[in-house]
Amino acid sequence: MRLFLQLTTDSMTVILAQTSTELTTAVLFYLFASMSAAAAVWMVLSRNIVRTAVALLFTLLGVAGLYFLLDAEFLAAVQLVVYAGGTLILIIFGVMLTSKSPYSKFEPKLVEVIVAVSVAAVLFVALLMAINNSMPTFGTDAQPAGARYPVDLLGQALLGDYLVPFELSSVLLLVVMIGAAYLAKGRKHEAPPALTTSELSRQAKRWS
Amino acid sequence: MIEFFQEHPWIIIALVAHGAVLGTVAYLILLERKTASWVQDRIGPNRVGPWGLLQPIADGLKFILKEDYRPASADKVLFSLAPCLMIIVIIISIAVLPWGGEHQVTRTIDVTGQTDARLAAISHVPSVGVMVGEPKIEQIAATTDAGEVMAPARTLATVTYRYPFQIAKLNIGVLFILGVLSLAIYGVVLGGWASNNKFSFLGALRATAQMVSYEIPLGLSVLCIVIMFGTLDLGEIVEKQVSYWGHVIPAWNVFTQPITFLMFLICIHAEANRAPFDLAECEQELVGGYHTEYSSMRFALFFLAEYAGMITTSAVCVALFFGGWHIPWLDKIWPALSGGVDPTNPSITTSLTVCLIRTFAFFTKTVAIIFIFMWVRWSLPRFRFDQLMMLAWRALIPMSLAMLMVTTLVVYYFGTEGNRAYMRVGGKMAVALMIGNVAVLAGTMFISKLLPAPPETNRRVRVIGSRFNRTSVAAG
Amino acid sequence: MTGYFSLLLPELILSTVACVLMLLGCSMKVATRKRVPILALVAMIVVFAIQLGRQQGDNASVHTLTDLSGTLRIFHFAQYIKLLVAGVGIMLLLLAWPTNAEGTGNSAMNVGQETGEFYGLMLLSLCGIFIVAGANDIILLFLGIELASIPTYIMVSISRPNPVAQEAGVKYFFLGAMSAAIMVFGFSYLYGTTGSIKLDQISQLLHPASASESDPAQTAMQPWVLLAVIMLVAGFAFKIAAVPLHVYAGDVYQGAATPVTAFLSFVPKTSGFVALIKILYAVGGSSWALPATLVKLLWVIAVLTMTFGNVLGLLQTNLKRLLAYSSVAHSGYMLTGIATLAGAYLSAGQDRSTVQTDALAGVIFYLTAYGIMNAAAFGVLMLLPARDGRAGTSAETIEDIAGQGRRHVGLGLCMAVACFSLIGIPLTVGFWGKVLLIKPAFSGGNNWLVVIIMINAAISAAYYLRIIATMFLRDPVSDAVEPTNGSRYPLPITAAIGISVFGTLLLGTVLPLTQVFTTGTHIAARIDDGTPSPK
Repeated sequence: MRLFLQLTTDSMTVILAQTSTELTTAVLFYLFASMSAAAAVWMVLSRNIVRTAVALLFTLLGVAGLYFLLDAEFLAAVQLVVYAGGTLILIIFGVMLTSKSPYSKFEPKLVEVIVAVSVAAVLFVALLMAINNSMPTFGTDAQPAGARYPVDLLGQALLGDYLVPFELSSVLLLVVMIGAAYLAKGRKHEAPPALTTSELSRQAKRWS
Repeated sequence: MIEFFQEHPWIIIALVAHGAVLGTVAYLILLERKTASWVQDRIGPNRVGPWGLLQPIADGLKFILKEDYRPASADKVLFSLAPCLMIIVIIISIAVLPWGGEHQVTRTIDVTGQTDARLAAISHVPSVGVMVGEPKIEQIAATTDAGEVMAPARTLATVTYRYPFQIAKLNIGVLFILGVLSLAIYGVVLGGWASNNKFSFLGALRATAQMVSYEIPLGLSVLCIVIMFGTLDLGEIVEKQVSYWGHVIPAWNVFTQPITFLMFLICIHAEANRAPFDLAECEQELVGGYHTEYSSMRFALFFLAEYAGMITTSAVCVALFFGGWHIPWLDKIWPALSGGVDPTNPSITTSLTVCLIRTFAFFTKTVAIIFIFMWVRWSLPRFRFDQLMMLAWRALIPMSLAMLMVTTLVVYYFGTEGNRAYMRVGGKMAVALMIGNVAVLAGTMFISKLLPAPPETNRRVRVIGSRFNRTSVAAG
Repeated sequence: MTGYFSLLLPELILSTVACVLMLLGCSMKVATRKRVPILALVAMIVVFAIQLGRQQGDNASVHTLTDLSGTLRIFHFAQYIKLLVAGVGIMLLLLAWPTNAEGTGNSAMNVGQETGEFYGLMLLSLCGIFIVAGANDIILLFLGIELASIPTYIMVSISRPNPVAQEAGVKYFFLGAMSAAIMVFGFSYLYGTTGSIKLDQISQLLHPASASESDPAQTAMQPWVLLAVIMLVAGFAFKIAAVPLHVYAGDVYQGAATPVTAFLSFVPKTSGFVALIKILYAVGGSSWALPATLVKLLWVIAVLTMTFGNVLGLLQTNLKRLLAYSSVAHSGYMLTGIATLAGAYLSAGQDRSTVQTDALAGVIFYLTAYGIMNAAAFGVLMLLPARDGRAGTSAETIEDIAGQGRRHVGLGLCMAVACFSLIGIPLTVGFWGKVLLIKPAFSGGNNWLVVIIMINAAISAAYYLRIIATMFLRDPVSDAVEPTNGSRYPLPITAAIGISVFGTLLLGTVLPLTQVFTTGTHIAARIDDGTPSPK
């Protein structure tokens, strides 16, 4: 038993020593990337609206994982708090409340499928052509590898250099909030104009 | 084997922490039942083992052996996914809890025969560790019994490093916990929806509305503490509470921010979906809420997640408000408990024992907070849904916003100038914060008198003869 | 370098007043709520006065104003756009005055509960264009465009208490959100390829100062940048209702209350055009060196937009729908100016700088002209009653206005002036608008474009003249009902129509002789003087 433990821990030490940080990062990268990509495909193909939302959750989680790998921890946590934990839950809330049956399904028409696929294909081909031509050259703004982004620097940037966009986005959110409150308030609709006899009979004919 | 643990300390910490948390969960259930029986003047479980101590094992066996039932019309994927999702996120959130400060280790390693002795020495520093200074490299001439010097001589390297006594140290720890815990709601929502049962569905809807509402004051009250210290790292927040005001009162945030603490406590009660906030599963209205259709291990996962979630949130509460691993007054007698290596950073210690004692202290405080959870659950009746929403939107959110403003102002006027990294809450600032808390409370109580009355549906119904009705009932 | 306060003074006034208005709107007293539009109008007039003071003429010593971090760059172009928006904003505000609830079809605006929010949103939307005009930061640019658009989604929904408006609002919102997504995608590629979010830095990165000015190779563009710009053009095309993203226009314009329709036909369009010009300037550099692909794309969009707008306009019987397609067509005219501007680098040879300035000045002038002349058409529509006396509607269909020109002669004449100007008949501002667009197109070698503009103007004449003919030559339909409440011609709306008609005629007759606007818009065509950004 002791020997077995010794052997296991020894081999684990060897394996862990050999797995350099790069390899771990690469494995995690492919894990997260494939997770978000697979979930995105699931999201598009699923016909059940709640499953679609769940697939979106996994896409967002995968992206958050990628942010963690890029050392952008704040962004990753914000991704979790705002998108996965905040926005998406409201989407699911809305979906569950508005769908008539709990098993609401998407029934896309053939035309819609063709249009959507062709638009996606055009975009995809454009991307492929761009990749084929040249990889994007990145500007000099990039941080040196492994640099951390301290949260306090981020805060200073938001309230310093990016003050105007920051404040403007809060104005925008105010507008959105007012709009949402308005649309949710439930206004009294005016009764539709009373139908004349001829209109009624026309309607009856149409329905029969 | 010891070397393996020395080089990968986080693995052992992770194994032990998760084992301990999951083991504790089982005994928390026992504690819950015992608490209930104390409150209700009963004896509680006492058949299995002495004082019912083996009851959790019996419960576990029962869960495993029960029929694993799934309704025919349930959504197969989501029905199983929901409890898994819930337990996974709760377990992940344990990762950033700062159990025992930082451990500083000095090791001497034999690097004989390595081409670059320094690099070879550094490679023995664990990946989560930070090296202190440069490794010292010495040549030691090894001698035979006869006294002859053998070639080559041995090369010994001495490295000093410190590693955090927690699973993962993130510089955004608090935010990480908030983010990950906010995912726990998916378990409730998806479980309720996938069951295809109207009671489950109603429970899921209630849970969503409740958790979304209470996340706002929860985040805002955490933000008050974050603003005080200028860091999101839970370990640093704990470390900055390790001092005294006037050599007597521990510099814990619960003394500077009592109102924030109360709001935080209310919010974590709501986030845990426990009475008096257990509208998602209230038996009298919704049978069992979102887990009506669950049985066997799937139900057990929900059950475990509830208690594990309590552990995490209580631990965060301890770290934010009760000085984490800080053992008050004892470190006057035994200074090693509060550092000793680096005067500016009391969390660093060279002794593993100290780390373990600290972890134990942290854990004890956490269990104390959990006891409050149970105490509250068996003492208070459940809220009505509109009261629940009113508490969040009309009371907690405005109050936490006010607290945030007060904290910001105090930090602005009393915060230490210059390097915020070593900022601690000084005596003046502590007094100002306390006054601010009291002022917010008084202001809220005053303003609440001026606010328009809540809608008609929320008024007390004065049933004749009840204590709200002053008219005397005719005798006989 | 200037402080934020003086740079953003108009924006600050607008957003602060908007917040105050929203708070006033919460008041329980009608008297307080009645002050809301007055306060909004005062704010707009103050902003207009400030912007009038900031027009700096042809002064060589004027430099681009920037702030410390370079998020804003304001030169003649931005100042002029702000002046234009403030001016037209006053007219739009007057049109929306809550005196004509029955006529506008917007009972909500009859100093009801929504008054504060309605005017607050209006001011914020105008503030959005101000931001777009001054932005030097793609984040700020995007936020500005959205700030100009998002209030309009809400305004459409709350403008009328009937399901048609709700449907229009939802439709507008979803399509708008999609276009915003495409736009953000484009912005992200632009940032990813250049590594900068500042427009002037992007311009310098793509066109280093060392390169020769007239080198055709300057127009070469990395495929990634091209992809980004095409996505951005697609996003802006929604805002300016260009084909093929014009499909929402008919339903949304018809569904919204008439003053909101007037607002929609100017505000999102202006924000889209301003943003388009700024992005083309950023990726093309100060010499507008744009690749042939992009020029072709803009050319095709321009032609399709004009033609579709006018042909569809010909088929409409609903006047608001007709004006919607007319608005699409006018976007097409302006896009010809943009196409000329973009193509001048490759085709215009030595005098390309003149062509570029002329084309840009033409677009700016047309924007002004459209803002001025369009208000009259909508104003008249608001004052004319609906045929069958349905509550909450004003004249909408062509039957509604039959013979009304003879009953309300003044309104009929105003409508005639507006329609003549929209066709582009001489002595109106519309004529000069088209002339100033056609001239650079000719000198830039875009003869086919000129021919197509002419054909389109002829098509559009058909349906504009039909409006006038219906108003004056047909007999009134018997069941037309006059508005019952209040004055028949409320002062604010009449004032807006008056300003609009007066402006149309003044700019069409007297001012061309003095060359005021040609110099004015040529000054406004200077987007940036190239002073280096801080840092």
